Amino acid sequence: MCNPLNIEDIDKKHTISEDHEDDIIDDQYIDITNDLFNSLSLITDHQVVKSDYFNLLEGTRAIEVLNPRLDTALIKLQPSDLSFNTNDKQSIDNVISIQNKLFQLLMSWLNNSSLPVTVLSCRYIQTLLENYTFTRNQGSKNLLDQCSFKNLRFFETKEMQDKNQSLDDDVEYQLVHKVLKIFSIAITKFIGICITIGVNVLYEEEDINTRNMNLDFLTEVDEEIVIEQIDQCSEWILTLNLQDKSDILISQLNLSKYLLKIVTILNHKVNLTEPTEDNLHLVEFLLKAKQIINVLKVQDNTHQPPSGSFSTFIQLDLDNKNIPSEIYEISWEDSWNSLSRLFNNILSYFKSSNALTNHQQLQNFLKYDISYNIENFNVMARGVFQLYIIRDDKSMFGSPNVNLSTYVIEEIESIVGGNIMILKSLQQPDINKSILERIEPLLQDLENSGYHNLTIYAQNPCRQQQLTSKALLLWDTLQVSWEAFEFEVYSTFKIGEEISEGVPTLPISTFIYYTKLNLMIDLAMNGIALDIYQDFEIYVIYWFSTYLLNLLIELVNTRLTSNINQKITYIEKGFPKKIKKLKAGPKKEQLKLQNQINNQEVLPKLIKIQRFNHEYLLNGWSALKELLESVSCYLIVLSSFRLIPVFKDELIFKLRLKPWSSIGVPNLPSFAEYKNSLKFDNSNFDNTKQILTQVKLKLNNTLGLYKQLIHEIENNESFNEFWVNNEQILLWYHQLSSTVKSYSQELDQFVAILNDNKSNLNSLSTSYKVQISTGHHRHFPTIKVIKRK
Amino acid sequence: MSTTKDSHSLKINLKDSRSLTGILTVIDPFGNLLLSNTYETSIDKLNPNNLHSREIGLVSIPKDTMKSITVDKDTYKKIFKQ
Amino acid sequence: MTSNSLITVINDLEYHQFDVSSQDEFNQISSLISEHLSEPYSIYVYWYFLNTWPQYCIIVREKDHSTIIGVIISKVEPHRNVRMRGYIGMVVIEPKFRKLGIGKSLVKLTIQKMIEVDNVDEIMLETEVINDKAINLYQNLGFLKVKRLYRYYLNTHDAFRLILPIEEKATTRIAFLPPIEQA
Repeated sequence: MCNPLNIEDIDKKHTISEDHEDDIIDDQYIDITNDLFNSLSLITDHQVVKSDYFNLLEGTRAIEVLNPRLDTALIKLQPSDLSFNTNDKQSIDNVISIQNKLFQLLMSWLNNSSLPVTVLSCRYIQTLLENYTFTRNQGSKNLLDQCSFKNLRFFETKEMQDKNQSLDDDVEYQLVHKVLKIFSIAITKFIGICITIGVNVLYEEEDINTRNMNLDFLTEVDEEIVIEQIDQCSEWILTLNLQDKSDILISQLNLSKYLLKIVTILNHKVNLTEPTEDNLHLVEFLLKAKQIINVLKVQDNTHQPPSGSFSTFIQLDLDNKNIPSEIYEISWEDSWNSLSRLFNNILSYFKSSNALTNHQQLQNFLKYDISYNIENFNVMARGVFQLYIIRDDKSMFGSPNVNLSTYVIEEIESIVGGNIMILKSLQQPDINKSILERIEPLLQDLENSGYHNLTIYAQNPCRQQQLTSKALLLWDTLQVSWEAFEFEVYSTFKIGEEISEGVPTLPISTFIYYTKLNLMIDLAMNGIALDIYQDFEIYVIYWFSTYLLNLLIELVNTRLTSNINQKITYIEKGFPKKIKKLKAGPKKEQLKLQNQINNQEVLPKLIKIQRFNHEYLLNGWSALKELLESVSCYLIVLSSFRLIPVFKDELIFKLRLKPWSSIGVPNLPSFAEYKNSLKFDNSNFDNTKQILTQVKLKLNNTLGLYKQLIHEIENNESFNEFWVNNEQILLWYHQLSSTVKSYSQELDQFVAILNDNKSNLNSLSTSYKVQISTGHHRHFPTIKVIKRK
Repeated sequence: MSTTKDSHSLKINLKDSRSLTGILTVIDPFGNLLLSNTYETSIDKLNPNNLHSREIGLVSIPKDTMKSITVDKDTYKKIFKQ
Repeated sequence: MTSNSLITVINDLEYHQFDVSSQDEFNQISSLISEHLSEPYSIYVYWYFLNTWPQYCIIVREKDHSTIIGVIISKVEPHRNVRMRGYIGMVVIEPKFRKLGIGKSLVKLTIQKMIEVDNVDEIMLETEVINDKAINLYQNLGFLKVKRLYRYYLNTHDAFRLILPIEEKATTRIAFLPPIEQA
């Protein structure tokens, strides 16, 4: 932006003509109103004058004074909002209802709202935080003293001071200053924890709103001290003889305590290579929390908090760069459900993670239990999960055996098998220095990309898509660099597996390609769940996905299978032969030891990969392929009757495929290929019907494949080594199987429509249209032909 | 050449008796101002004998909302008498 | 109302170039928008657009009337220094003049201008996922939904980002495009 003037210039160019003594309104300030406005005439280009370092884009976030929608000072308050005194005693019912409301507002905040319009609308929380900041600066060390409910701003007059009197022998006074206080401290501390997690692993504004009105949410307070105080307070309540109401108070206190205990799971070490045993006692609090919620949820909630205890007051009172907003509160029912979900989500991934023993299980857990299920997660459960799977020390789930580097290697081995020569050569003392120098950054890139993938699973669905798109770039780059490297090491140093004499296997590049193809398909199909595609684009996505899926099936079916078979044969036959040939000696002993490791560790893993691929993975993919081909064919026929439009021009087609456009291998299909694939001559009615009958048969076949797969998942006990919990996987396949059934019905209806309109098929699209709506499975919408109105 | 170092702090008295102190950042041809790092001073709602101040950040101030624009003496000297 | 600001007349409605020197037009535009868009904007939201891109603000008036009944505000900027990207910021039509195709005309005039004057590679905008009418309008003009943005709006709705590709560049990922200066 180019401006002839800037603010400072305006001031300087101004000439002083009057006696400015008149302008002085007090000792400190001089009035320049007229000077400033007069200087506006110097602006001749109709542009604003701005400070050089200010970008006008920032200005879009400004509030605006005396604009009711943008100025918090204009918020209208009730008299009770101003007179409410947090020092006053309150009845037990009031205290209970305030604490319920705080739970409700806490969950409202975690439902994508901001603090000022939720938890901070509570006058107790405001007073507590104001006093905490003030007293801490005064050097007070005692937490309960720091967090006082006495309103220091009332201290001015005698009358006001009376309002702050302590009534230590009054139970209702103590309910506020003991019970409600420690409860409020716990909630505030939990918010502080959430803010830290949010800033580190979640997305501001999308997932969580961490703007804090410059208040310190007890960051320096140790949650253990708060927990201790809560327990003492509960004991005190029991001495009061309040009957069933004391139960509710104690339940509320305990629930607030359990919120603080959530982060303790981040200290828990999951083994990952064998089941982590006897650990449920560590998360007993999660179960107890769920039980408490079930009790609190059915309380009588007709009693409302005292008026003025919650209000918009804080918005116009404290530091606030936001615009005014109503208090945001999700329903009673939704709040408890949301809170329950928080504990439940954590309990469920805690349990599952402890049962994990191998990589297939881990991958399926991340994919089905976390990623595809993410919409059922409370946002904090997502945040904690991210910190739970990758710890500060880079260990996976805190495992003493698996860190990020070994995880990535294990992931490779879980796809292409162990004993990868190029990796084994790293342990050789005589390794060539030039290999070592080049492989280190390449391994680092691999680890970084593996890490990137691990940050996708627990993100919100839209973010998952963006991160997957970014992953395509990372993995494609990896493929190029690793392929070149593996090939060079093979041809120069003869290190590396061979498919046949002189043809290298390139195992790591193969793994990278496998991962990339999976990401490419995910990105395409998940766009359907996000409702990104218009009706006419769905065909392209299925057509493209089928193409990718075929490549993936072929990769696993041929290259991977034969490579792993080769490894198995070598361990079973080749290696023992090699030992036999050797004379007794240290070399022979060394190989014998290797042989033992091969048989005990490497071989079972190889056999498992083959089983996983052939008994589960390929079956699922074959069914998916059949389904994709059926629905694609159905869509082609619909397009031929102009019931669904097609891509008009190449530019739009290419824009749609942009996320995949930079990828070298596999080749992106061209617009011409797309148009070619759509070619279908519907002029022969019988032929059309015959094609649709074939689609119907194919769907029947697909249904059979899914039924078989579901049966295996449910009944084949040996499948348990592929996942720790089959609930989500079963749901996935049941939904696919329902999809097939519903396509079959939609196809029947379409055939009936064709029969009815045999004589004027050319004008079918004038009386019928296609309606696409949410289906049984996130990747497959319902595609119905209906009569136009 | 100007730099942010000699950016000027203004005190603006609003028509509703509040006053704003902040750094003049933008002025438009119609006389509407944009202040950054703005503090608002008003009568304390909890205690009418006191003034209460708070940070409200980046603030757009339409011309017709202002009663007067003032600068402190030192700033004034810097602007006009150098 | 200066006559040389007239761009075109469609269905007896005059489409004018916004006059940056007119405080009346500025005020009318801002009150029309603040009245009909859910998110409140300060004066400096308008200035962000109007200061740098006054040429991309088009207003609509009834013939021989001074009241503005429709407005579009847009901008054109290099995106990540590799593509020229037009961005449609706001389109607002006075309710009793809706369903007459005014919005569509404003968008079309803007697209045309962005192509002719600034050789844009693509044109982008964001809209709430539940705003079917807007989504349809843009899709009919060739825009494609390229991204879903999680809880983009204050009222917790997701948004779609839509793009109209103009040049080949629009279909290439940023990492594979040269910086604009060198191109």
